[in-house]
Order: sequence, then structure tokens, then C-alpha cells
Amino acid sequence: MKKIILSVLVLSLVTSSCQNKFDEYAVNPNSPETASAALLLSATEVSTFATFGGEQSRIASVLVQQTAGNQFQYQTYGQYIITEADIVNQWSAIYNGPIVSGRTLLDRYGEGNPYYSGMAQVLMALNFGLATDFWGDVPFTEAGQALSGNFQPKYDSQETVIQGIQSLLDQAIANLSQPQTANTFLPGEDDIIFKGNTAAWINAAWIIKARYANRLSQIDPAGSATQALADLSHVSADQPDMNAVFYDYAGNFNQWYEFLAVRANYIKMGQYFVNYLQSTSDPRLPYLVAKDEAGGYSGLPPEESDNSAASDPGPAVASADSPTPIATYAEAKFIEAEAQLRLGKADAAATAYNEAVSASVQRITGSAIPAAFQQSTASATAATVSLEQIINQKYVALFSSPEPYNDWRRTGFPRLQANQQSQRKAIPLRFPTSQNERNYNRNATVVSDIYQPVWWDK
Amino acid sequence: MTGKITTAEDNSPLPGANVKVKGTTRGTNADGAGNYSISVPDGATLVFSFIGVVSQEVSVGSQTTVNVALKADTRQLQEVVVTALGAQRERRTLGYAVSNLQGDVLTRSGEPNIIQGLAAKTAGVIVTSSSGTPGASSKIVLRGPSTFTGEQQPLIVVDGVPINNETITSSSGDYPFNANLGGVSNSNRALDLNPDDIASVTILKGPAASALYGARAGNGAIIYTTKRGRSQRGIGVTVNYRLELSEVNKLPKLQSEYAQGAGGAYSTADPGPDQRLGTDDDVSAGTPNSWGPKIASNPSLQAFDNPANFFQTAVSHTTNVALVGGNDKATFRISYGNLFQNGVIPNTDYTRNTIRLTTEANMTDNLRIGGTVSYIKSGGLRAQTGSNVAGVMLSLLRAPASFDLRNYQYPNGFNRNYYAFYDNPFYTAYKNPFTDDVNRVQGNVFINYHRSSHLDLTYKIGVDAYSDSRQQVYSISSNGDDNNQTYGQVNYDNITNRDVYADLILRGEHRFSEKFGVNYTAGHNLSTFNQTDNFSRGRNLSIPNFYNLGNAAELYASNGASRRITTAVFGQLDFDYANQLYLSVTGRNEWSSTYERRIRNNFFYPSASLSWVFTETVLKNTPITFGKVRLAYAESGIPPVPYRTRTYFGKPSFTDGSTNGLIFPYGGVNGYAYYNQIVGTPNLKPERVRGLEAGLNMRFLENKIDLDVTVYNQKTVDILLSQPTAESSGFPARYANSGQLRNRGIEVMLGINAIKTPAFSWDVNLNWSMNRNKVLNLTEGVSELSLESAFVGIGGYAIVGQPLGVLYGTKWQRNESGQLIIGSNGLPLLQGTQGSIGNPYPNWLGNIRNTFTYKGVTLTALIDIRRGGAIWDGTYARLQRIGRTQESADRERTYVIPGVKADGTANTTAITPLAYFGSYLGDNGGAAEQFVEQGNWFRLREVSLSYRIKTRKYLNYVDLSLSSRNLFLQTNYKNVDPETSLTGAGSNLQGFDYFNNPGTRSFIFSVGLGF
Repeated sequence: MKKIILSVLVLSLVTSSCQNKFDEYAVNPNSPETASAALLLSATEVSTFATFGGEQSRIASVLVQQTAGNQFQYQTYGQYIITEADIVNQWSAIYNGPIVSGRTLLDRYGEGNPYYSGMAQVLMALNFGLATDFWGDVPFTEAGQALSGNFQPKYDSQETVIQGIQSLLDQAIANLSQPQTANTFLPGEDDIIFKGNTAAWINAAWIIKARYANRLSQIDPAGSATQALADLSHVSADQPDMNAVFYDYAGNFNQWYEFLAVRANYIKMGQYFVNYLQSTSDPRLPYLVAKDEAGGYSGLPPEESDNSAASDPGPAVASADSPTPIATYAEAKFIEAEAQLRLGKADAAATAYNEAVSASVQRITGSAIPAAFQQSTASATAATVSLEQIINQKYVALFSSPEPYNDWRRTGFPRLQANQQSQRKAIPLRFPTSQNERNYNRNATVVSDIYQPVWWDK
Repeated sequence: MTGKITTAEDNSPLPGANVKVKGTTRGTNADGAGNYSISVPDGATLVFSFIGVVSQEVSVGSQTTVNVALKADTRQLQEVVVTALGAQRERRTLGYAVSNLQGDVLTRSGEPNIIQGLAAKTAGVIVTSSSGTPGASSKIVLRGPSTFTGEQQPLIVVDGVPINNETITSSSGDYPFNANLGGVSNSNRALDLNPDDIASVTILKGPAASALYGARAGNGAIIYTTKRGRSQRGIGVTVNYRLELSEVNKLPKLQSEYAQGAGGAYSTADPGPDQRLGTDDDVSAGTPNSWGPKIASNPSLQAFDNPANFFQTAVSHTTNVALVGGNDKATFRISYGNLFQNGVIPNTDYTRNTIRLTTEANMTDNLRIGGTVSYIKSGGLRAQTGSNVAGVMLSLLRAPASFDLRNYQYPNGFNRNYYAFYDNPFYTAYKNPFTDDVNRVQGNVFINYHRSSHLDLTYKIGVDAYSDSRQQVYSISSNGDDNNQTYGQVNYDNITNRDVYADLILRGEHRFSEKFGVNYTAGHNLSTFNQTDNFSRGRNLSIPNFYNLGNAAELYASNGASRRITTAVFGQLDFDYANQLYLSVTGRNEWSSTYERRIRNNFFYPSASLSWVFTETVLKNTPITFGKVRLAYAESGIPPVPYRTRTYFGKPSFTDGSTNGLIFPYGGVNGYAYYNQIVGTPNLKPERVRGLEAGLNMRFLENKIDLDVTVYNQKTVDILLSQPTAESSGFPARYANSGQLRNRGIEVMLGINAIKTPAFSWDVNLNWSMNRNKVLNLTEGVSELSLESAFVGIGGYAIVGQPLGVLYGTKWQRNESGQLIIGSNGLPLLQGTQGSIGNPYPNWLGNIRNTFTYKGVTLTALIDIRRGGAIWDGTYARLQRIGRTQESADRERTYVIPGVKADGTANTTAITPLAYFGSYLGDNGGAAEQFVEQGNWFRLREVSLSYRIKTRKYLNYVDLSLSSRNLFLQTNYKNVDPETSLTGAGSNLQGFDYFNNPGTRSFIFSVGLGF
């Protein structure tokens, strides 16, 4: 019987003498602990395509009536019911997306890689901007630091955030201006936006600097204009626009396109927008607006819903691979026009405005501005140029980006009438604080009232 | 030595009764006629025992024939129950509550799932089936949920070996949402076991009972013991067959007066010349709404009862054959079971084939070996459910009465429906099949060496291995593909799982004196877990109805794996004194690969329990026949999931919630990010369930009444939690020990043997339990957190001071007296922030079983009552909004919502029916609290009439029975049977109903033959 006891004990030992198995089993076969600068840059860029090309821009377009909420969740947004749960994904997309990816890129590869650093800084500046424009006070100085143990970042005032954006962009420009030899690794194909073209990045950084200078038009009308013009002096028409890039391949689709496929009829074109394009005989109409069921172009007023016969967004904004604008030459010219006008230089304002409209038509239609439209709409003079005209045309030019909503809040143009069936009969002025921030961040500045304006919106 | 074992009451034979030579392992069982034969040494003592009788010892002396008549023990005083690690212990000695059920409880329930079969059978067990579709999972929680985001279900042990009971939802690496909200209802893997193979079930509800299982037993354990062979003359054969007819038992009430359309104008989908919806030439996409004209007002329209046309009566067949036999050296049992279930949804089914061999042999007087091997093949055809435009219920219940769904395809075979962007339910049932094919082998072998009563050694090793091959098809023109492009898609998902479990257990006993003794146990255990999941997908199919990755223009693949190894040493000491005082202490130290090795990877779990059979000392000669008090304290654990001690990069799918988002490779470029990754914590500890329980068991009037009451207080500390964090920190969650949870409750089991005559008996069994769950704290600075991602407007939360899993959503603004505050447009105002709107766990559960036996006829009825348990009825909210509910047919009028205006005066603003049903009662801006209903029910869960005919020739007996499941259901719930769960057993969300597939009522006829 000793044999038996012995053999049982041996059997038991054989199966348990596997201490090295513990090491083997502890290795994660699914996910890496490190990622290269190239992997992090492409992730930072693609996550920016998601934040600029996604829900935040779409909700903004419903609020400024470029589109109308027709069904389901968007029908509800169209009644100005936007809850703290509705925007959790948008908030998360910014901070858990480009902000943490950009910060990780800077932390791990910043030393000795000024180009990667500069690109990360531009992308982070853009996304901090998207956050502060919709939420006001947001985390900036302590954002994205969970790995150093900060799970409850403090909120910075919008003024601090915008100063921070300017300073990030200054650093980016300095970094991107370094010689190539200063870099250990050089961005190439992993830079989906500009394929490593640093001059294009620097150009885009100046446009974004001008955008955030001009954003303070109600805080410091003259100073903001002077600063914006100084930034724009570095911007060249020869540099490519900064766009969110998409491909006609599932998972790489333009997000307006995918939204119209996956959430068909949730939104339709807005009546105000379509009527405005029609009333100005705008050549961009068939590019920005798809044909409706009757073969024409139509949009819904904010009060109307569940009418699938109206037009969808058109091929220039919602084809599988159409780019979504992030920072364009046309926008730069509109900012210039507005800034010049604010400084009383109507002549320069008119010139910039005319150039802006032409650039936009070229960008959207792919051909030069038709003479008739140029005559009717892009021939402003010092005597005729107005802020309303500038902003209305910017509203058309930047459809599919969040800028028209920012401009409407800042200037009150275009003159929209809020949904008359909504509780407040007024267009919301911000997003509420994300439910997750309210619940999990005791340092959060919680604002649930979507009619409380942000700091720059006086 | 030969003889016959009979019952003392009517001298009928006791087949299967045990005969054992005292002090040895040598033993046998009586055959079908109650006869036994065994060789014994001179002077031996034989012990005769059997479940349900008082065991008896007989000194053999020089006799060669011993016939015994064993006295019935209706209350099973000497009942032996299987406890942790397979130890058999007399129930009277236990210091904690266990529930012991015989296997026929499972088969009689008519449920093919050994988890669902436990519903309403005992106290303190909450079973929730996900739906009435074949193969759908059932979730079981003992007492109450012990943890937040980890596994809440008990460990499932079969013949001493833990088995895998996961419910795995297929999801590709780039799918960014909670896949539990849509897709199909998957199976919990315990469904692979055949209920006909189960001899008994022991439910170890609290940590005291399960502490010896260590870190896997924080949720309790359920121990299934399978049927074994027995020595008898010849081979015993049993055959049984069951025929089951099922139908849908409940659907929401829908209107049939108004047609599809908007604003009173009729419209429906028209695909244009290409006969394909969702393309550019569509004349109209249609609308999901039924706010059209009166059907009667338009001669070209007529009303159809689509749900009645859609659902069918489902037919199921169950066949089981078992052979048992053996002699005093070796025994065996071979069984084959076949289950074929049809669903109430067309083209759905589930098939299970199981074959199982159990054998044991006494090699010498001291050495016994044995083993079990079983092969299972299961799987079927499943229908799409939930939040899913190809979901059966979504499109079916939303379907306007004016549209006849039966004509579900155009001549070219493409989807024909009332709305271009949903699949016709017939189309999705027939053209988008999900199939799963599970091949599973379970087996164990043991070797037992019994040297003496001081030393008994058993080594057992068991393997549970399965592969699950799944295919999901979305036909060309179906909207179900990931991008709703209608280009067709095929997904393959291959899951393999392997659990290996081995333990070495030494047992023995020592008597210090006649009155005082100890049983001791010591052992070692090793277990490993290996799982892989390979997913591949093809999109944009070229050839219709041909499903192969080669037919796809776009390919995607992802894979994942998970592994864990644990070892443990453990021991147990059971002291007994004077046949009345019992003390048991246990301890287990465990090592696991899921902790960070360099810090600390081993932890200790203790328990102690005490029981006193006071009727041995006091209250003798009173109506109290038996009385016992018990007290137990234990700590068991729940281990971390693998790979959570560090932070990893992941392949991101950047999404905003409305689309499937952007993934890598992106235009040929790869990327990795921290997007949706979880911050790891190096120094993880196991979470601990600390349970204190006390109980009283009393039997009165010669055991005619048996009352068992347990009270418990279980606190879970150091909860391992994928804890959501503010995303501004850069991460959406971190995994750490934080939070505390308490479960307190009462369980009452009452058995009354009301009438007992030789011909007639009436038994009543009553179980009642209530559990109060409370989240005590979460983490520093956090008082509310989401358990799992769900819908935007509704989630499941842990909130300090409230029960775990409360539904969390938008609420109306109310004044001090609770009245709604109505805004200028006549609709109530919403609160700016969301909050708790209902507890999905029941206030109490009760069930009563009445059993009447007259000669061979048995009538039994099981009534199941549930009170409380909130359900978010997202289905009904959406049906209100789109004008499909019966209530919404009352639309030729205006509505004034009761409430007050901002100035405090009563609301008088009249609103349209569209606003009333859409934005107040419906989910177009209506508060989620409006859609929460209590899932109360009163149901006749089981009623059965059975008759056993005893025969002499060829056949021993014939069993005939007629039964019904859910024959009667009374509930306030407006939608389908409230025993429903969108997220199934694989999720910790509870109380979600969003176009869930319905429950069923069934009628079962069965016949059994014993040879």
C-alpha cells in the first residue's frame, strides 16, 4: 500500500510543481505594455477625427439648424433636451482619446522628438478647445494624469484653458520649427493628416491660434482682433488645409456618412440652412445637401420631426471618404475679415471676406467660384461688409465642424428662431457637465443648466 | 451474505439501498427487487442505509441471510448532504444553512437548464431567465449579489470538480459597445449538463458553507452529484420521453386601430424599382411610427395581428436512456440524453446530446478507483434580440397594425418591411441565423485509498474542456450588419475553454472518548483556467446566401485569451461531543496568478461553525422532536480577473456612441492607445465576503412539521471593481479594491407533512426569503458609480446607502408634495441630473409546493410569488412613443398632465396625444422613471400529475405524467413575462427590458419506463 500512497503523492506533486507556470500565466497575451511614438501619434490623430467629425459637431449642427433632429435621440436633442448622460461619450472621446494619447506621446517620446511633440501639442490644443467651448471650465493643467495617480483633476477656468491652448500652440510651433536632425524618430505615414509635413502643421497651428484669439471677441474686442491678425500673418494660402481624413473602408468611414447609415433619419437637413443656400443661389447647395425624396432640396424646421422625406447632408460632408474640416484657409480668412472689421478696417475686412467665400467654394465644390455667385455674395466692399454677412457665410463654409455653434453664441448670427415647441424656446448655450465627472470627480465644476453661458459668451 | 431490504411501512423493496460492512469501504446496493449480496468476514456488522430512511446496523454473527425493513424517516433526520470539497456529512451536524434537493426536482420542473430548474425550489435563491427562447441563459444569485462588477454567480461543482458556467457574448475587437444589449441570448454553459443525470443538488448559500473553496466561493457554491451505478442482478434500464408544447405566455397590449404614418398621414416603405430597401431609388423609407390615419378610414388598409401571426407553438422532445448495473466489486451507469427544443420564434431551436459513463470499482478492500466521462454536443439556431435593428421583437412589436409582416421578402429575396431600416422579424428569423455548436468533454478520475478510519486518501483530477463555434449571418439586405449598410456580413467566433482541477484530500477520524471525537481533513488543490476566443468577420458579401469569409470584400479578425492558475492548501477539523455539540473549523491558503507576484500572491480564508442539537439535553418529551441552533462565521473570497495589476495599451475603437467609430488599421496605419483601457493596480487583494449566520431548525409532532430559519449578515469588503473614473483623468476606469457591500436577510423553510396514511399523503413545503442589500461605501470621493455600460438614458448603478444595481436614469422635477412640475409647453420638466429610479432586486420571494399522493398518483403544484424587483420597461416606453400601445389608441383628444405649473397653480395646458405619449409616457424626452415598473408576479410555476404503474413482467414500472410550466401568471408588468433579462447571465445589469424575447408557458407529457 505504500506504493499507492507514494504514487498518489507523486501525482499530486507533478501537477503542482509548476511555480514557473505562475509567471507564464501572468503575462497578458492580449495587450502590450508599451507603444511606439508612431502608434501613439496615429492614435492621437484618429481620435481627433472622432472628436471633430462626430457627435459633438452633429449636435452643434442641430442647435444652429444646419440640420434638424428628426427621430429618436436627435429628435430629443432638437427639443433642447440634452442631459448629463447624453454627452458622456463626447467628453470621454476628448479626454480618454487625444488628450491622454497626446500626453503619453509627450511623456514617453517628448525628449529628443520635437516633431512628434509639436504634432501632439497641436492636437491636444485643438481638443482642449473643443472641451472648453462646450463645457466652459474644464481640466487642463491636471488633465490625463491618472497614471501618476490623479483621478480627480481640478478644473481650470476657461480663461486659463484658452491661455494654455495658446501656450501649447506656441510650444508646438517652436518644436516643429526645429531642424530635422534634432529628432530621434521622424513622423511619416503615421502622420495621417500631413504625412510629416511640418510646414503644414505650423500653418495649421497659426490658424488655431487665431481662432482662439478671436474667440475672445466679447472679452477684449480690440486685443483679440489684433492678436488674431498677428497670428494670421503666418498663414499661407499655399499650405494644405487641416482635415479629419477618412477612407471608404468600414471602420475608417467619414462619421457623418456612417451616422446617416447606422442611424438613418435621426437627422435631416435644417430648413433654415437649406433655405439660406437656396435664397443665395449658392453653388455649394448640391454638395452640402443631398436630394430629398421628391428629388429637390428641403430641410425641416426645428419644430418638425419624423419626416424622412427631407434632405440628408450632402456628398461634400457625408460621403464615405469626404474630409471634415479642422483648420482651413477659408476659416482663416473669415477670422481675418471679422478681426479687421472689429478694428474698423472695413476695406481689409471686405477683401478677406471675399477671399474667404471664394476659398470655401473652391474647397467644397472643387472648382472656382462661379461669376454670378461671386458677384452676388463675394463682392463685398468696405461700405457693404457686415459682421452678419461674414458669420452667415462662415456658417455655410464650416458646416460639419463645431465652429458655427461657437460663432452663433459669440455673435448671435445667423439670426435663428429657437424651436417654438421646446420648454424654454431658446437654443442651449453649452453642454451640461458629464454625468461621470459629476459622479467621479469631486473637483469638477458641475453645471447642469445648459442655458448658463460659457465665459467667452457674454 | 444475501438478503432483502424493504421498507418497514409496506414491505416494498428498496432498490438502491446501501449495504456496507462497518469500518470498511466494502459495500453494495440493493437491486431493483431490494435484494443484495455481499461477502463479509465473520463477526462483521452490516450497516443498511438509504436516503429517506433511518439507517440500521445488524451484527451478522453466523447468519447467511439478513433481511431488514428500514423505517421511513420523512424528515430525513440522518440526511447525509454533500458539503464543500465533496465531504459527506450528516445534516444534523452542520453549523450553517444548506439546501438539499433531489434530482427529480430538476426533471420535474421541465426545464432543460439545471440552473433554471432551481427557480423557486428553496429559500434564498434568485434565478432569472433571460428569455423563453431555446438555449437562453439563466442567472442565479444566492442570497444577494456579493460584488459589483465581478462574477456574482456561485461556483458550480459537479462530482467534486468545478465546471465552467460562463455566458459568453460574441463581440469583435472593434465593437465598442456592451454586446449584451443586443445580439442573441447566449447559453450559460451549465446548460450543457443533462438534468436527468443529476441525483442531488446541494446549495451552499453562504460563505460559511463554501469557505473551503476559497477565492471562488464568495458567491456560494452549488454542488451537483450525478447518478451512479449500483450492484444488482442484471442490468437496470430506464427510458423516459417527454413531449413539451410551448407558447408565448405574455405580450404587451397593442392597438390595431391606427395605421403606420405620421401626423395622421399614411406612409410605408417603398423600395422603388430595385425591390431593395435602403437604396437611393427608394420611393419612401417608411416610418417606424403608427401615428397614421384610422385603418377603418382607408379602404385599402386592414389591420393584422402580427404577433399572433408570428409566434408559433413550439414542440420539444426529450429522450433519456440509462443503464445501470454492477456487482459488489464494480458498478457503472451509462446514460444518453437527447433534447430537441423548438422555439416560439420561427426557425429557432436548441439541441443537446449528452452521453455519460460513470464507473467505480473496488480493486482491493482498501483501494477504490472510479471516474466519469461525458461528451456533450449542444447548440442551435438563435434569434436576434434586444437593441438591434435586426432584433425580432424590436421590429415585431413596432410593426404597424396596417402592415402584414408575413410577406417578408420581395421576389428577389430581399428584406420587405414597413420601415427600410429595420429587418422584418420573419426575415431576420429565417435569413439571419445565429448558430452555435458546442462540443464539450467533462471527466474526472479518482483513486481512493482507505487504510483505516484514521487515514483515507483521495486524489481526484477533473477536466472540463469545450469548444464553441459560432456563426452569425446577416443576409444581403439585412440591416443587422455592424454598419447597417445592408451589404451582408458573416461572423465566426471560436471559443475554447479548458478548466483543469486536481485535489488530494486526506480524511480521517479520531475518538478521544466515547462522547468526544474529531474528523479531520487536509488537502492540496490545483486549478487552471485557459480560454481563447478567435473572432473573424467578413463584410460586403458578393453572392447571396453563401456564407464564407471568401465571399466577403472586407475582412477583420481579432483574438483574445485569458489564463489563470491557482493552488491551495486547506484543512478542516470537525469536533463532535455527546451527539449534540458540533464545532467545525476550516482554513485555506491560496496562491493565484492574477495577483502581482512580486508583491503578494497568497491569501488565507478561515471559517468556523458551531451547532447544538439541544433536544438531546433539554425539551425532551415535548412536541418538539428535534431542535438545533447553529452559528457560523466565515471569510471567503472573490479573486481579481486576470491582467489587472498593470495598465496596458489597447487597440482603440474611437466612437461617440452613435456609430461604430474609427478603428485601426486606419488607411493601412496601425495605432495603440489608452482609449477605453483600465488603470491597473499592482497590490490587488482578493475581495472578501465575511459572513455571519445563525439558524434554528426545529421539528414538531414526530417530525410532521419541520421549520428551518436562517438569518445572515454578509459583508463584502475590498471589493474588486472596475471602477469608473472621471475621463478627464485620461482613463474611464481603474481596477482596484474599493467599496463595501452588505447583504442581510432571512430565509425560512417550512415543511408540513399534513396527512400521512398508507394510501394518501399531503405535503406542503414553503420557502420564503428576503434579502436587503446595501452599498456601504465605494471609493474616496465617489458616491455613485456605473456597474456596466448600458443605454444613454438608463444604467445600473452602485450608490452608497442604496441597494446594488439600482436603475439609474432621468427623473421629473417635483414639488415638496411630489407633484410634477409642468413647463410652459405642457410637459413636465426634467431634473438636470439623473438618479436612482428603482431597485431591480425583489423585496421578497416565496414559493409553496403542495404535493398530494394517492397510491401511485402524485399531484404537485408549485406557486411562485415575487414582490418588488424594478424593471426598466424600455420596450413599452418606445411603443408609447411610436403609437403602438393600446393606450395610445385614445388619441382623438388632448391631454392635460396632472401637476403644477412653476407658479404652483394646477396645470391646465392641454397637449397633443403625440406629445403625451411621445414625450411624457414615451422616451422622446420622457423621464426614465416613468418607464420603471415593479416586476411583481404570482405564478403557477409548476403543476404536474403523475402516476406510477408497477408491473411484474418485463417491466418494473411505468411512469406517466402530465404537467405544465407557467400555466398561470398574474403580474402588473405591462410587457412580456417579467422573468426576463436583456443582458442575461453574462452581465451584472439586472432589470433591463428592451425588446426582450418573450417568456413561455408550456405543457409537458412524459412517459418513463423502468426495466
